[in-house]
Amino acid sequence: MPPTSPKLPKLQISWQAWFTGLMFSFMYLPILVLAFYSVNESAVSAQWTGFSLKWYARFFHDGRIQQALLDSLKVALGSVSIAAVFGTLMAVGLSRYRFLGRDLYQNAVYLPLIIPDISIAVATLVFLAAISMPLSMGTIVASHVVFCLSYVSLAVSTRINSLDRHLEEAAQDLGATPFQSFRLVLLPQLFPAIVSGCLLAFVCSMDDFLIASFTAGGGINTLPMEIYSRIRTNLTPDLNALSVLLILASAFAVLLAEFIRYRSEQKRAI
Amino acid sequence: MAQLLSQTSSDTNVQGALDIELRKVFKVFDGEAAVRGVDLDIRQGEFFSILGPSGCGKTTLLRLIAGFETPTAGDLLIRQTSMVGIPPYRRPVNTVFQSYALFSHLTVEDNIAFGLKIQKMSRGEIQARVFEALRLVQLEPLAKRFPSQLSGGQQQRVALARALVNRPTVLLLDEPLGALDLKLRKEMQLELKRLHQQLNITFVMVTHDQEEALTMSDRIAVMNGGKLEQVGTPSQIYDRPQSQFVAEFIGDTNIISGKIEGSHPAMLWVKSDDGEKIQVQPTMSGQRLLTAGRVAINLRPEKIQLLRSDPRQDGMALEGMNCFEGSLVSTLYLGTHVNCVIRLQSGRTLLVRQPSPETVSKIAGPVYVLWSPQDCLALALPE
Repeated sequence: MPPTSPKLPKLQISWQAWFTGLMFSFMYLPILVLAFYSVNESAVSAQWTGFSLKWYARFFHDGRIQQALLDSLKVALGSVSIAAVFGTLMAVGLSRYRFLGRDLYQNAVYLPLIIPDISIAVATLVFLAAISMPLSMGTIVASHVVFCLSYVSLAVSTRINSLDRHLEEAAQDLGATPFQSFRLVLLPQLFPAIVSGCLLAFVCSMDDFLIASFTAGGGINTLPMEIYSRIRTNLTPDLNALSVLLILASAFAVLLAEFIRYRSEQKRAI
Repeated sequence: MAQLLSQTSSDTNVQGALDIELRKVFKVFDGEAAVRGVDLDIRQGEFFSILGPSGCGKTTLLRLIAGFETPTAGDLLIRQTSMVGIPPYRRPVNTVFQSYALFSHLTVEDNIAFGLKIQKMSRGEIQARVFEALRLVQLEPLAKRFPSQLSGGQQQRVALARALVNRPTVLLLDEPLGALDLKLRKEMQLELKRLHQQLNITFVMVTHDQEEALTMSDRIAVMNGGKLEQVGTPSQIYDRPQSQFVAEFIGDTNIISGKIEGSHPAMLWVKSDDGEKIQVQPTMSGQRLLTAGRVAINLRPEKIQLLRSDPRQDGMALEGMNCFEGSLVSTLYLGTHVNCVIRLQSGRTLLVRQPSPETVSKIAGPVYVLWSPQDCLALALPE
């Protein structure tokens, strides 16, 4: 009889696996706790009294939350659409043309991602005051465009720099004007990158509290602002539920962006 | 099948007429001249190659013709019309890029139709011409595929079809076979030759592969350092190189430098730096015969005969032949032939190509090299 080992292999967990597990629990345990309490029936967070979806159901009757969500969506959609156009043009311009101050500009594009939000918020507020611009939803959109531009431009730049430089030349060689070669060749090639950049920017805009609260005009209340004002008064389980929903929506958007990017790279891997 | 495609060019094809004329063309990038005063005529319907080492300016020359670069100075004409200031999308030329530059978001069919759609051609005509182009490069079954689903050779064919479908006056090819493996490259060389003969349009190909240029071209321009070294037919380039650079760049060669000791309208006597006395048939230097000064003798390895016994003792008629004794240093087996290195008594080594390995397999002792004055060429060396 062949010596088949009856012994089970000893379960060994390497230190790398321990470390990874620790890191993941550090990052995601708070979210799990949050998700856990969001389905807790009790109004007091500390004790578990049974499973319930009533906190989720509450949103459908909460006009303030719905209004805040609407404001947030308006701001995010507005700033992302502006950033999509200008961010793409910026990335194309920076990679395809040489001009004075190009390198400086190229680095400056990413500054909004590095500068702390609070600095952007204060700077924007001071600037708006200096030019006596009344605060409104428009001012939030304007300040969100600043960092949304960086996300879109970053995503598009990465893609455009990996493209064959001869693509546009080939289009022009076949009779396309520079504008036609941009529209018919470059834009379709960049489209997945534009979408994934926009999704990232959208998530960040939806998520932003600091900049929005500094630059919001009267009567404008974005979702993060609404949540913050509620936490200050009392911490109710419906906020847990709202947070879980936001996390799920954001995660979905980011996954979608990543999926689009991955798929486009698969397709274009020549 | 090729009739439709070649219509435009064959109608006006006059023997000896020029398709492309370059007049003292210069191109300077950031203070560095990539092309220096090139004068070149490319005739209608010929397969013309621009050959040179990397960085010699050959690709820049092609890009100047295509319109991706504008000349710093000089004039460039296509069919007698100056192209200075004319953007690439208004020039009657199409390019096959080294990287193919296929549009990966479009199918093979749509890639080929791209130029025709830009011209706002009717749908029916586009279909007919795309189909014809697909047939021409034998890709009909792959029309609906995307470029990423094709092999390198197939992508190359798509790039060719995409350019040819527009019926250009001139087809420009930038190292078209550079990315293919050897076997596929040989296949595509034949394919390109076939297309050229079938379509009867002018092909201008940039390559660094001298063998490719020699086998495919009607005429070749050898470029070095931004200048044309020589323009001529493959046999002119190979057998009668006009400069040291051309002789060494095209194929293997032995270079023997020396000084002219005596001259006669029918013969030159050269004493090499190592002391051999070599007879060479006279060559022109510019407008006159070369009669004095230092020269470099070019001797192709396949022009040398290798003998095991002294031909003088064997009573061979050696009148006017060059014959030297030496010994075999090493052999290199190359399949169709053998390269041998022979060391002459003076210490000079010569590369000799022999057709079959048997003749040189086991040679010990002296060997004799023999070549006629007609088989070598003296080129003037600068003093």
